Amino acid sequence: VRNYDLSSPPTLPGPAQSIGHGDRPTIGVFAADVSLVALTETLSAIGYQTVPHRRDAASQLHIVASNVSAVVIDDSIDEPLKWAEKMSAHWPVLLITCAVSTADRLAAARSGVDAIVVKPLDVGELGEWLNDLVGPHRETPLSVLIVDDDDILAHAYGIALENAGMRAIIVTDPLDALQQMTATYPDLILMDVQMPGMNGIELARIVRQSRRYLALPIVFLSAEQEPSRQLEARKWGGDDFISKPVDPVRLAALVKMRADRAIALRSMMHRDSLTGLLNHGRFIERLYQELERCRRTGAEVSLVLLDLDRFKNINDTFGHVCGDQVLRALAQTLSGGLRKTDVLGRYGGEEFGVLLLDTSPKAAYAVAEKIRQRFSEIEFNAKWRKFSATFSAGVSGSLAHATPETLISSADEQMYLAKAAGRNRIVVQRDDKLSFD
Amino acid sequence: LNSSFEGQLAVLRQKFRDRARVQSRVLEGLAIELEQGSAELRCYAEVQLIAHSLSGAAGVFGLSEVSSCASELEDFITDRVGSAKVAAAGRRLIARISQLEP
Repeated sequence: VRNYDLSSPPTLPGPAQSIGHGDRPTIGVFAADVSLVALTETLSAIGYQTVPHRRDAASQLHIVASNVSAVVIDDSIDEPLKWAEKMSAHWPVLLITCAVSTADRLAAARSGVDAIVVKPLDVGELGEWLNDLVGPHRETPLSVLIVDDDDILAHAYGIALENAGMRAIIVTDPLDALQQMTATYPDLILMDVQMPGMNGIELARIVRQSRRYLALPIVFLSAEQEPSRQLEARKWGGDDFISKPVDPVRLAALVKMRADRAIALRSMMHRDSLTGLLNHGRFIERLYQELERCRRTGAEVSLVLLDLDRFKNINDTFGHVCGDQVLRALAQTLSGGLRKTDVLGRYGGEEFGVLLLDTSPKAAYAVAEKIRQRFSEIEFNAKWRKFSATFSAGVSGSLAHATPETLISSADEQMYLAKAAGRNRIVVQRDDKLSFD
Repeated sequence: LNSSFEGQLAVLRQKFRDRARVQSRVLEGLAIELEQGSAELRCYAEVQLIAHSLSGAAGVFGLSEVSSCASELEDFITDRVGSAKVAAAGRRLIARISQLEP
């Protein structure tokens, strides 16, 4: 886990620089001069490093040397699809364009364009597409619990899954399976049906007795050919049935697809549909977990509560579509400015919560302040004019407030102090003897 | 596929072949009981267990002929086709296993 370093001066805003705390990759940018500055600033605001396309150099080589992860092409440059075709051989390509007819989209698809963002640019949409195209990737591999009494087979499945980048936990006695599940909380269980002591269907019934494991996918792997027996296996909680014998490589592909889908569904259950951040319930759950961890280990976490300034005015003046764009852009700016390990949630309507792990309120303030500056520089496009938005935030730390209730209450109080002091600022709890507002 | 994966799989394949030969010897004794008409229910259960184990595992290691012979034997027991047919299927499986490379 990377700690926030306060020894270096804050990164100044400007094109082709990231906030410096996010772990986001580098994006190659192709745009005409005026659009290039705006686009690199926007990408920088949501945490991406950028490498601008230069007309005076061999652009393709320049981009290659810069180790980019994706390419964004604005249709302000000459022959954007020609560039898309060249770039798409190497990287995912996102096209920002005014041309949105089916014929335009078809031409773009044939040129290898993976995603289109229609002008006027929606920063939230741009950030979400880039998230999809280049990450964030899972930091931990998929974990699969294999339950099979045949030791040789179980290990064959295990090495096939590990070869495909997954983590395999092998149990050859079904009676040990529950204990392993509790210890490892796998993403999927792969189990044989016919096992001595307890068969797979009985084990599935036991697993499903716990609410915690209701959404955990169970895939049976068996030579069972009898349809009624297969049906029974599904009835008692099995999600899939893979018939033995199965080629290990094919097995790994099937398991990965099933686990990826389960994780995507679980993510949807836990996340706010507009911003993609953790929803209120899941954010609070993580807050409780992290404070419990702090109690055990003596670590410190800081909570930042942010509230968009005059958000009702934005909705009333520019419409709710623009309001949603602002919410999504703030989500992207926050994601881009934080570490992957930090916890980020939509706390309420226009309120967001950030839990910075192993971070003092002072360090949390510094991070939030950079994000505040970046966000205030984003230019939003309404139908008839451009506008910007700001937020106010309060920071509190777990050393002074060890319970979830007091930590939230303190951050909330600081946030209202920030509002009262004129908005567009961050206030840290007084207990920390800081006066950064 | 990386060489480490292939290497690990080869080790397991060898373990499987060694185990299959042990199971084949047990199956030999059970086949004699079946041919003599002295087989008890326990004997059928043992044959089924071995056949089930071999049918799944052999297929995973690419030994499809052993796998299909074992599946046939398992089906015969499930379908109660009689001791002579079960014994003959057992002999076919034993013959297949004897053809595996050392």
